[in-house]
Amino acid sequence: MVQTVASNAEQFKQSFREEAREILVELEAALLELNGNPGDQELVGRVFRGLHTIKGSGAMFGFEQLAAFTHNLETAFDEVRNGRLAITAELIDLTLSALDQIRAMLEEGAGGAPAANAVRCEQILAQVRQLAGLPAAPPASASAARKAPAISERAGNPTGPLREWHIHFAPGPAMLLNGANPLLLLRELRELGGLSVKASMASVPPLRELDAERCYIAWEMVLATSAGEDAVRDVFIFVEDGCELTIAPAAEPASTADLTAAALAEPRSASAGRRTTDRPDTATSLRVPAAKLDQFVDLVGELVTVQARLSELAGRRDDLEIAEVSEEIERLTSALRENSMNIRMLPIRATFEKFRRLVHDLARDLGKNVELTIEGAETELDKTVIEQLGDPLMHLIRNSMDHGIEPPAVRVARGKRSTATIHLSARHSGASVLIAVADDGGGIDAAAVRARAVEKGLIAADAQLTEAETYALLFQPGFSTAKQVTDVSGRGVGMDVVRQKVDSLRGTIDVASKPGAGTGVTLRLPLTLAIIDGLLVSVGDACFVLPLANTQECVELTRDDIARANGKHVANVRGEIVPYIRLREHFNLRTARPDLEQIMIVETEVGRYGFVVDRVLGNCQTVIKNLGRFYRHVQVVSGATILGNGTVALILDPFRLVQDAMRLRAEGQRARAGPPRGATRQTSRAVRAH
Amino acid sequence: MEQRVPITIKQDEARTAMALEGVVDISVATELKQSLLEALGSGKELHVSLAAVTELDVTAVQLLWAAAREASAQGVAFVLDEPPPPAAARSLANSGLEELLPPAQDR
Repeated sequence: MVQTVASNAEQFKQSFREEAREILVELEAALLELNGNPGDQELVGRVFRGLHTIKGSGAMFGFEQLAAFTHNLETAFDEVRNGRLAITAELIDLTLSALDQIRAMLEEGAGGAPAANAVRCEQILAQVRQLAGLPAAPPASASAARKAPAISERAGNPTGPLREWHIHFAPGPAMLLNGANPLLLLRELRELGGLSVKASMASVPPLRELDAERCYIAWEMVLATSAGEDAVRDVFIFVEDGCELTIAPAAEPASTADLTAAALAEPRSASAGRRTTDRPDTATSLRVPAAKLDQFVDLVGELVTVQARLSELAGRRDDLEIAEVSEEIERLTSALRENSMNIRMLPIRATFEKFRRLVHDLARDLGKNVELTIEGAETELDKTVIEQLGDPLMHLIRNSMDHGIEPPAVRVARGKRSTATIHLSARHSGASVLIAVADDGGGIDAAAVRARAVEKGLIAADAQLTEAETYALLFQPGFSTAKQVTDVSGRGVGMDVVRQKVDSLRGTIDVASKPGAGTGVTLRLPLTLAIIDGLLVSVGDACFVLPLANTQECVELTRDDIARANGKHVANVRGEIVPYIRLREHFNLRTARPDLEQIMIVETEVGRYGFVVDRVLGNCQTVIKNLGRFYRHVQVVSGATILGNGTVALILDPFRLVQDAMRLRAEGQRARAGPPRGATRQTSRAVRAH
Repeated sequence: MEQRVPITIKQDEARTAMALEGVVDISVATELKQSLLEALGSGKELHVSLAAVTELDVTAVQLLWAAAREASAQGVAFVLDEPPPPAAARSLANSGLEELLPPAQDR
């Protein structure tokens, strides 16, 4: 019994941590927005409510130090809300560093996380109190923070004319079980002003059917108060998601004091609809631990594999009934697979928004003016891909901020806007997603990159490189053109990390840069890493899977066609010349070539490309299994899958295959042509010669 | 951490007397519901005393209210022998709940 209680408490703590982490991200975003728009009362309200929630829930779940600390910040923002304290860059910076401390306190006891710095906390509080003109009080005790906050203050310091509010409040099914007490809420409301209350018993069921731990009573109230709508709404802040709540002004304001007028300028419908716009509808969404989701997807993966076996079996037996069941199972498995993949898809918004803070802090440290713009934040990616994206994006942004973007004076001298822009974007493209970080800075100094590469011995002094190859040098381990190593970047570690991470996600990096105009780095990543739709093909007795999303069509290749092409690896597809790669030759398979072969035409970055196989066996759902460390360097294969008959088929990566074939051909030509080491020219010629 | 259930029930031939004491809230709501159901099931008139109650929460109020409704539907008398003391009553009055308690006998 005692154990259950303890583990429950830990569970509550854990869900508070999760909730608080989300609120901290929102708070950060709101603060940074506020920085550019200090007069926005709605933003101030959002910050206040966020702090209020963290404090309140924190105290409730035993994070007393955190609650007490947050209480001071909340008080400062209450002052802001009441117009007694102005938003300044200093206040925002202080609050941001305070959020860092809150984050640290939150993770304390969650296993090995760095503890909050008590000295720094005190400094922050002292500065906040000084800014807010509050007495330099001793650190607020937790109990002080826990008692109903600042309510008497609100009631005692009327912020506007007396107004009447109609309030409808009906607790939801789980409200009491979550520890909320409606009677205390009503008492809190009463402290704001005169309250008349009518309880409605209309929903109370017969005694036998009544769930004793649920509140069926609803309240209709009229509150006469000089506090603003926010203050009224704040009373319900912890329960808002678990209840029916409408707060509407009963009549027009008696006078138009500035603050109240501003608060009321918000249309009534907007305030009533705030719950649906401000927060996700928690009633229709669930929080599920990621591990459970992974397990679910694993199981679906197993199911897909077994289903493939069943299909194979049904295909071999001449039994209509089995065939029917097998088809039905295939249909269901396919739907289940798509659904489970969808569950794993998350919008990239949170990852992108996180960088607002980074850009803000770096801009301040570097003395540059930088604005972060975000596009396509709603683009959805597989959870695992999103988790891995944070690091590479951070390095790219840091690099842009430090090396790409010029100091304001230089920008002005070059006739640019003194405020630079970093643009983060995401969009889908076939089975891939493109994530781009673009800046309008000085662009990459190709000559400097080259010189540095020569100096580092990465290329020969007379090597001739294309633009793309030059930029690719940036991602070599230990490469940095910065003359000075700064805190931000220049140690030559970051870009290398980007490449490793993107490689491990089976993605590619594309760099475009224009001197004086800026640099754009685009990461192309696969949408999912777990299960894909593929086409099963065979060459001799070996089976391969090509991703269906990239495959466009399949055409026949006869010996006559080959003869007509004069030994060149190109096919004529309805008048269009398409280069192809013969998998048999590429993989050195020593099996006899049939008279009639098939070309799978795939869309790649360098246009349509063909892959010649013996036979196309059909569609298959493919659970991608990693090949393991031993085969890590084999880039043309993105994994393996187990087929219905128990054999293994390699999953090919068409982009890498084409790159690999181009490289081999270039090497072959170079070997024939002899030195020098200027590989590039030849590579590009080789591409054209296909 | 008091484990004692604050419900005392005495029965005789004609009536069931139920006395509640201390904090009557969600932690004892299920027991209170069960007691009320049993009491009403016996068909005897039900007398409730709230004199020793220090706090009543919404679950208690709605159970008593629902029991009173049930009793009147069954034609059984449901009598509030003693109302809650002023401190507990005030909190109910503040929430518009006091009038929902069954009528007290001597009020």
